[in-house]
Parts: sequence; structure tokens; C-alpha cells
Amino acid sequence: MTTDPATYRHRLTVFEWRLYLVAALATIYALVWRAIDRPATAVADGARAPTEAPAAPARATVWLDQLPLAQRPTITAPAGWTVIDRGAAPAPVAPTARPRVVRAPESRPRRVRTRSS
Amino acid sequence: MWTFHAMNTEVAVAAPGLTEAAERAFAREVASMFDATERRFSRFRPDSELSALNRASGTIAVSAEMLEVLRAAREHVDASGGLFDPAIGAALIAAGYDRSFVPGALDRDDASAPPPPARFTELVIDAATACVQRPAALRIDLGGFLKGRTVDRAAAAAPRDAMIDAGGDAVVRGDGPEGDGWLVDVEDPADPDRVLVTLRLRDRAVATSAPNRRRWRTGASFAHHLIDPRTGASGRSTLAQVTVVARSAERAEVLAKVAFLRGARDGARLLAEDVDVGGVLVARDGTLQVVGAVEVVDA
Repeated sequence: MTTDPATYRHRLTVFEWRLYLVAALATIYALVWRAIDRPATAVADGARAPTEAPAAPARATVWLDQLPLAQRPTITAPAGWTVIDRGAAPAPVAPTARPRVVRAPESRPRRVRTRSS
Repeated sequence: MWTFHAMNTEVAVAAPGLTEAAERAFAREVASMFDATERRFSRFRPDSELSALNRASGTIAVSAEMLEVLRAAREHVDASGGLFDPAIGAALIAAGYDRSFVPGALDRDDASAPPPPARFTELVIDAATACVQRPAALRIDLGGFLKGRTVDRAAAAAPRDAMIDAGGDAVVRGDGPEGDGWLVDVEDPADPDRVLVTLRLRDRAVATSAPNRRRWRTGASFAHHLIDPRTGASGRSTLAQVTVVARSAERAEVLAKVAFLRGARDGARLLAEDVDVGGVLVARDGTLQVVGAVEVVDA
């Protein structure tokens, strides 16, 4: 039996499908990487040298209770929700030593002396 | 036997059945428990969780440990009809007990009026969300209750034969160093060098309440740490001292305080209600009364 080249249609094997898939993913990866990397690359290439130090990026998140009272926005909680306090920031305290365990004098009896304390 | 200092008292730990090294390791474990408890629950440490709760202006999220302690305290408040009430923090501060106690350090020339009584039952405890809401005037002091509770935790981790004594709040387990029980001396409130009576205990806890040690001068009078929640002032009682023997130091501590505030007759009646509880009550005139399940060795 022979095959007519005019009517022959190549059927992709599983291996070939995998090759196409890997190529497609690699292309997508390369495009995304390029898009993400572009701003940093532009600066690094010296296309526009900075004349002054860039400003620090603004903090995206902050605890409400870390803001000064005057700057705190009014929070309206959804029905059934409650705005809670994490507790005021603790005042700094001097570090205290852990209890030091010492051997009691041999003369001390192993008995309890109960009293108010 | 090993000792360490925590919660403004000397804690002694003994486990006669252990080697010296093992007994020391156990004492260190107990010391760590006391240290962690003090760091979280002291009202004198600005960085403690209790201080944060006492400062909070609204609803505040609390730890599982805090939630458990508040829940346990609430049970004692309900069982005592409010005579045990950790909401006495503001009253203690008003009376002058605003820092860790040192004899003489709290003395003052004037006495301030007690604040309006606060009630622990006004504290809103939401166990489901672990949140607590505190009325503005309410300050919590967990004091001796917490010490007793910590002694119980240490006892739960102790070997079969052991003693943990936190300044007179103690748990004894097993038969003691001589095999015939642990001996507990009850101090004379009128003379700290004298022992009033000696008890023999096995697998029991003991705690004592009296106004003779934590007291300070307020003008021409004296205040002490046993605040009566009904008045917000230092409690007046016909008793000079109450020692309670119970299954847990937490319960012994609470019962001792409540019995003191109830006075000689009602206090003895309270201790007699439970067959597992006993006590030694010392009236202000020196009369000694032994109640319930205690074995007196020497009187």
C-alpha cells in the first residue's frame, strides 16, 4: 500500500504536541518578563540618568492605630462587623531577667509555710 | 529543693523522688511558667497583655491564654456571688497599690476615696471572636488568683511526689520527703515568727489570705490588698486570717479571699459546704477555728 503525497495529512504525535506546548509557554514567559523588566532596564541602560535621589515609595498599608489621631479616616464597618483595638502600643520597659533558680539551703525544711503573700 | 523569685514572691520547688539534676530541671521549667505568666498578666508591666487590656478604649482582641483566664475568673465571680471580683484594679490603684508591693513604699499621707465599685460581669467577653470590651472605669487585677492558677499548672507537670510553694500558695503531691505526707505550717498573723498550727496534706493545695503583710499607711489609717468589691475599699472582717485547703490552689486562693470578706461565721460555713475543702480561720481576737477536711498534726 502506498500513500498519495497530495492527500497525505501529517498527524501530530504526542511528542510533537509537547514541543509546541513548551514553545508556546516559553514565548509567553519571555513576553511577560520583558514587560515587567522594561522600566528597570530603561533606567539601568542610562536612557535617562536620575538627577536626584528617587523619593521613597509610599507605604501601601499601615495599621490604623499607627496613624496620628488627626489622620485616621472614619471607618464605617459593615453591618454586623466591629472595629477592634489591638491594644495601645506598649510603653518601652527595661528588659527583665528571667528568674534565677538557686538551690535552697540544706537547713531549710522541705515543708510549706502558708501565709498571706 | 530549689527556689526562685517571681510574681513578687519567693517560689520553692521540691521533688524528693528525683535526682538533683532532674529536680533542678523541673524547677527551671516551673520558673519559666511563672515568668511567662507574669509577663502576660502583670498589671505592673506596661508591656503585658493585661496592661494593654486595661488601657484599651474599645473592643480588643485577646490571646487564647487571656481568654481562658478571664473565663475561669468569671466562673469564680459567679460562684462567689461577686465577693471574688478581679475588677478591683481601679480600687487598688486608688488605695495606693499602684506598683509592685514593697513594704513601706506605698505609704502615703492622705487616703483617697474609693472609686465607684466596678463589676467583672460588666466585661463583655466574646469567646467566639476572642474579643473583650471593657467599661472605661474597669481595671482588672488578677493577683493571687493567677498565682494559684500558675501553681496548679506547675503541679500538673510535676512528678508524683512534689511540692510547689509560691509564698504560701502551694500544691503538694504524693507522700512527701518522709513518706507520711507534707507538713504545712500555718503562720500566726500576729507574729510571723510563730506557727499557729501544722497540717498534714497529701495531693492537696493550700492558700492563705490575711491583711497583715500587704498593707500600707494611708494617713492615720492603713489599707490592705484584700479589697471588698462591694465597697471598693480594703475589706473589714472579723477574721485576721483564713487558710484554705482544697484540690487546687486557684480554688483555695479564691475561697480564702471570699471567706475572709464573709467573716468568721459565714466564712466557716462557706468552707464547710464542700467535703473536699477545709480550712483554718483565725479571728481578730486570736480564736482559731479548724473546719472540714484537714488533718492537724500539731497545734
